[in-house]
Amino acid sequence: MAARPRRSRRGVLALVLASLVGATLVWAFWPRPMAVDLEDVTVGPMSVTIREEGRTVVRDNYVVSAPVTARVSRIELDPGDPVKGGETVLAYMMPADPAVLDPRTRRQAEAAVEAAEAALAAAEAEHGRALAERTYAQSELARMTSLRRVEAAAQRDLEAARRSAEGAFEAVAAAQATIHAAEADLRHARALLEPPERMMAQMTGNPHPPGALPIRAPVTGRLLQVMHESEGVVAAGTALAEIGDPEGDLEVEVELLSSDAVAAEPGDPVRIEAWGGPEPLAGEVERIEPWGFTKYSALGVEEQRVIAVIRFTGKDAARARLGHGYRIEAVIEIWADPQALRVPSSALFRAGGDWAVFRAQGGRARLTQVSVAQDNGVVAKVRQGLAEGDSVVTHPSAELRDGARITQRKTG
Amino acid sequence: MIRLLPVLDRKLLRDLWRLRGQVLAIAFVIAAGSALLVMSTSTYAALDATKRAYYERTRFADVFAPVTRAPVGLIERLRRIDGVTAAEGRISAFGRVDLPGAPPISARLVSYDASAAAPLNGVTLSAGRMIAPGRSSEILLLDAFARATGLGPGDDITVTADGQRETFRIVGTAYSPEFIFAMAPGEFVSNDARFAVIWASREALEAAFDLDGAFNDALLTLSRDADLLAVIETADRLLAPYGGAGAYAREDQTSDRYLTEDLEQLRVMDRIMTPLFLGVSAFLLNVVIGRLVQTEREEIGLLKAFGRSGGEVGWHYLKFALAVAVLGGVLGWLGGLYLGARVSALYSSVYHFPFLLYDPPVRALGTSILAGVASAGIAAVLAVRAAAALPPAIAMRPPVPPDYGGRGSLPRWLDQPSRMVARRILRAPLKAALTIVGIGAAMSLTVMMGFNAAAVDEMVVRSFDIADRHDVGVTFTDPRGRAALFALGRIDGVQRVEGRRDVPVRFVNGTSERLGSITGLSGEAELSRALGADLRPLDMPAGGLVLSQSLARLLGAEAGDEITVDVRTGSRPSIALPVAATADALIGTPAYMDEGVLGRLLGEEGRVSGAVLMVDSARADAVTERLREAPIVLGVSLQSESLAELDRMLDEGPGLFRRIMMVVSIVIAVGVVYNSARIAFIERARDLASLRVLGFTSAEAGYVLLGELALLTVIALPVGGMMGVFLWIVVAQAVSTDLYSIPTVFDPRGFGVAALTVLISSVAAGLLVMCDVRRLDLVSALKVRE
Amino acid sequence: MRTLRGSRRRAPDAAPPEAGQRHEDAFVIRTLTKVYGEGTAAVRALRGIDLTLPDGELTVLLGPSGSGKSTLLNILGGIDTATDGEVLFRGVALTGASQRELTRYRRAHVGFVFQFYNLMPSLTALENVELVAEIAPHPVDPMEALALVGLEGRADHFPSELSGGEQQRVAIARAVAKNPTVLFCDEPTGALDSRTGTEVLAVLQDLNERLGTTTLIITHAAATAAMADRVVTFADGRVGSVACNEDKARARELSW
Repeated sequence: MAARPRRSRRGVLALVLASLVGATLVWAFWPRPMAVDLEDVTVGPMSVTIREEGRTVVRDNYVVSAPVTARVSRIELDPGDPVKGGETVLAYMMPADPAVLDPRTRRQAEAAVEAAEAALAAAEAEHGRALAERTYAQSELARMTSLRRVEAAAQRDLEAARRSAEGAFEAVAAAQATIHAAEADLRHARALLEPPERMMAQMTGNPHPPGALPIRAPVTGRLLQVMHESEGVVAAGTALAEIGDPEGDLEVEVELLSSDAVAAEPGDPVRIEAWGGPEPLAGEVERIEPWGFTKYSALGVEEQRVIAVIRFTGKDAARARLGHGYRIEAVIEIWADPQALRVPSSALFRAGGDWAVFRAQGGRARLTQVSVAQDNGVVAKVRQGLAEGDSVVTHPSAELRDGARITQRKTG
Repeated sequence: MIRLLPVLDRKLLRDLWRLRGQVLAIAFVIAAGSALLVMSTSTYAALDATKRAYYERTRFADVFAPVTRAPVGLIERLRRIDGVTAAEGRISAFGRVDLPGAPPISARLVSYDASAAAPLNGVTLSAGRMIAPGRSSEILLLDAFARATGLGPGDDITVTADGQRETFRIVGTAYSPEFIFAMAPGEFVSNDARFAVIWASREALEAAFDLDGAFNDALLTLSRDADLLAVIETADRLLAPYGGAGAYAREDQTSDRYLTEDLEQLRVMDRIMTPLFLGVSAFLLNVVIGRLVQTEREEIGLLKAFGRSGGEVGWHYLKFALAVAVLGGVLGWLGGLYLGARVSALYSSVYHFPFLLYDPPVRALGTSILAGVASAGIAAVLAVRAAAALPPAIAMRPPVPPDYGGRGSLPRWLDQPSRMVARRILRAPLKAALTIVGIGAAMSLTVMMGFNAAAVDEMVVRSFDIADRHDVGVTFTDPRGRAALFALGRIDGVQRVEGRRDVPVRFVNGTSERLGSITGLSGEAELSRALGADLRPLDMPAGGLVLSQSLARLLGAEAGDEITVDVRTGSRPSIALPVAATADALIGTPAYMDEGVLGRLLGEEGRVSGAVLMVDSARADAVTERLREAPIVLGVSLQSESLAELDRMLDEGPGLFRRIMMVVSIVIAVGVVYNSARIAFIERARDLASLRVLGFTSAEAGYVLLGELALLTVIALPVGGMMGVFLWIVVAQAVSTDLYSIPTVFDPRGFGVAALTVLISSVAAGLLVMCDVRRLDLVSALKVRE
Repeated sequence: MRTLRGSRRRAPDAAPPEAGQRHEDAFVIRTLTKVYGEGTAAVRALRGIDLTLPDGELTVLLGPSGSGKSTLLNILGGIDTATDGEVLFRGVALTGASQRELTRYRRAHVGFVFQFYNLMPSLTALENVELVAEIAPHPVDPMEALALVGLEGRADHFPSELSGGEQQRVAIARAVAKNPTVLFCDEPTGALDSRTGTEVLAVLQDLNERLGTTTLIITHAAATAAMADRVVTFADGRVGSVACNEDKARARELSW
């Protein structure tokens, strides 16, 4: 056993301790990768949509209105009832009640009645006289004829007698006509005096009042709305009811912002949501009206709006429960790409004015510039800068730097 | 003068001077702990007293009772309720302030009767003058907001309320106890520049909100012995026909609630941290003073041999410990005074208290010294008693070599000095363990503070990077239909919109009640969502509530319980809801529900009270401008600003506290390490001298001493780490407040920093001790008493 | 491995002898003075000592406590420094040397034996010897050193397991293991009974004769003087007398 200087061994302990400590410190201070959420850049369908509130409308709806000022009967039908075009009677129309008279007009009317009565009496008297004249003329003609036959009278006298007889016949007819006219005048004069109650009594509660004109449904469909339900006198042109075909004739109207209206096109597919049913309905843009109007937006600011009409394209049965004027949300697809290179929108941020993402490469985040073509808020179509399968950091924290170590967060 | 003292006392003074390095180190350790005690108690006492005085002087209401619209005549009836000392009716509403270049700012408008003799919730002017009676265009502006935005007396300000625009003239800025913490509705962080409070004349607000001869907010002050619950019940009954939304006590008022929470945090710090630090100090001092006294065994024996009684000797050494303790206590008191004054002043300015009642805590001096004495005394007593009980002869005998035999053999390749190191540790494993635990305990405090700091960072990350990732939050003046969301989405620069429905409610679980709000979330929410315990977004259950853990704790509710929710808007239904799950929400105390279910319960489906947006940063200004133009927007919050505010807020008060405690824990660690090193030196002086005589250089002799220390320190590192972990688990829950909770996470860097501190202090202590080794007087060290 | 007999080598770091000086003189001491403290509290431990100690001799320093003999030993051993005067070790000045030089001096040339042994309690007998052997430039095999003092059988025992005499013998073996030029013993038998003390002294005598190491023994037992080559008597900080023994007694014959 040699007494070798073991100074070197002393160093061993120190070295061991130092390396233990060093290892501990290294472990403690080793830069830990930042936990981030990563998502892949994929290829797949992507669309940009406009979402807007809208409502259903029946395309062709017919407003039935009173053609003249008349008394219209109570409309007994309810909204939703089916109606058949040309057959179903909606209501009955009767002439309007005469006006009630004030005293002077009443006396005038009464005097008119008396005058009419006198005229009738005169007409009747005239008729009597004409009848008498005709009888005399007829007998004169018969006498003249028999006289002529025996050449007791001149031809001229016979013709005169004939002329008198014909005239007398005409006179009778004229007198009859005058009687009729006088009767009508009398009725007319009397009618002015006639109390309205009697006429109303003829109509009230009578489903088929005599002399009433039926107002029939112009088309087959359903009664959508009853504007004037109760019996009453309506002016000409008053809307009474609205008829349409919600089952077969429903479409959607959406008020688009004018700039959105430019982006949408007839034929763009539309998804109808929030209508109350389990599945969204399919539709497509039928037309965009070229007329802009001012409206207050939901935010309270003035905007120019344009109406876009959307037609349903799916099965009718699916939307059987939809009526007219129901609220829906229309999602109009104004751009779609079935094979777009998609990057999550939440991965994009501005770096020096341009879009950029953090791409995960070798456990580190690499700042990568990208250019995007379309962005719908969930994904964006990549024009340049990324490839399919690249992994990017979504919602990058403000602390993340180019080249920093990252690791996938072990949560959702 | 020294000659006048009895001999033993002269020895005491000389000993104190001789061991001055260690005396100071121990004194600083005690001082650190007691400074903390003095600081936190005096700060809390000052702030609490100031708060109470402030509330009293400004007649801060005890009960707040919002209604829809009630005639002013009702105030008299409210005043006649048993226990009410004063009642006031005022008009309170929300509006919007638009400043050039800024996103819309929410504002609270409150009517104020400047001519009243003793108005409730009195304001204190900070600049300008009070509103003149009869001038309905004059207003007072909240001081904090004025300062943050640069507005002041003489400026005009335009306010949009209830659809109308009004321009007011600011005549003064003011503080109010009601708005010490002022937060925009829906926000969790107070941002001075984003929320304005405006006091206007009654006439102005009556006209603006169509409340002539009416009020929509009642304030009540109560006498000391009033029955709060009875008063609230009676007030509710009186106000119910007028659309009373439910009266609530001061403790539920936003500002008071946050203020109380903040102060409570101070008390928690006080109650938990201080005993913690003092406990560690005491434990460490035990070890240190005990060993110190041990090294004097021979002297003790001598004294006893010369006739001094055990009691006298014991008392002498006890005086040593007391002297150190008193020194530490006084130093701690002074330090605590200074820190307390600084911290109180800081908090006071943060709360905008117009004055501060800071009593220099003279009584705390006694407490401080007592704390130090308690720390040092117990240890000393035990050690001294053991030493004093020694028969004197022990001192006289030559030192018997301590028994090292029979403990197995060491590896061959180990050199002698290393063997000495190893054998010493193996021989007295208990002592070695105590040293390890001591250093570990000192280190654990630093570790815990490191974890604290990292956890606060994690809290911010979780809230702003995982839970709420939107850029902009928008609040509407009243609930709107979904068309508002589409409209927001169409703004150029807005990439994504998600709607929110926030409903103010009162949660009731048995006897626990709490005002708060429920947030309705949709299943597709991606920008703002509720997180589960594993940080996964929670799916909203079909019909139940999801409470944040902090809220669940406050209500004493758990998943599976059923609680009552009193809705405070609209038709004000009262609904029983099951608690389906708890969410890990760190900021605020939110509650969540599926938005569809919430809408149905309220009878208002598909309505949103606000939205969160993802915005293209290049177009942020344009977006802000469009939001300003929208009349239905009540207020806008920017996440980046909220984050900056939160960082600033966390850094100010709590951050200062953390920094102070970090320093304290480092002082303790350094003190312990240095003391261990020096005591080890004293104990081994003779052996070291022998080695030097035998021809060992100072370095080689030092190796024997410091090698042991180094080994123990390295072993103490992981021990300290584990103790720190344990400490943190205990403390993390306690330092969470209503405003934010701190997650129990462990960052290795906290451990690293603490380890580094211990290592650096060990190296420093080692170097200091090496000086002692070098200066070792070989002659006297070798001497044995003859 | 060094040989054991009669080697009188110069330490490698010693300077060449001054001209005119006999290099065999281990120590030449001139007007050595040591004063502790200052002013009225000053203690004059040595008052201008003049002394020459030749190489290879066994010298006993006698004198009552406080007479300065321990102080002289300490200075000669490089543990303490003189206030005034000069000490030459084989022609090389010790006084004025730096701490480092003194340490090197002690390491290479000086063996110490103390009254209370000062063994490392945490090392075995063998390890205590190895402790010193490891740092000496020309050490002796530790086992052989133990054998020299007759304790090779107790190599693996700790000091707590050895008697006082055995401990002292281990201390001697330790001192000898570094093959020192000089061996200083401060009251080597002070803590031992007379029989054990005699044995220890016998060892010292044996080593001195076999190895030729200059040995200095401090004691206050006058009987020890009989075995020395030279006896220096101290009193009150001065050298009283220096006597040389022609006939040295054997250590075992001593009694006190």
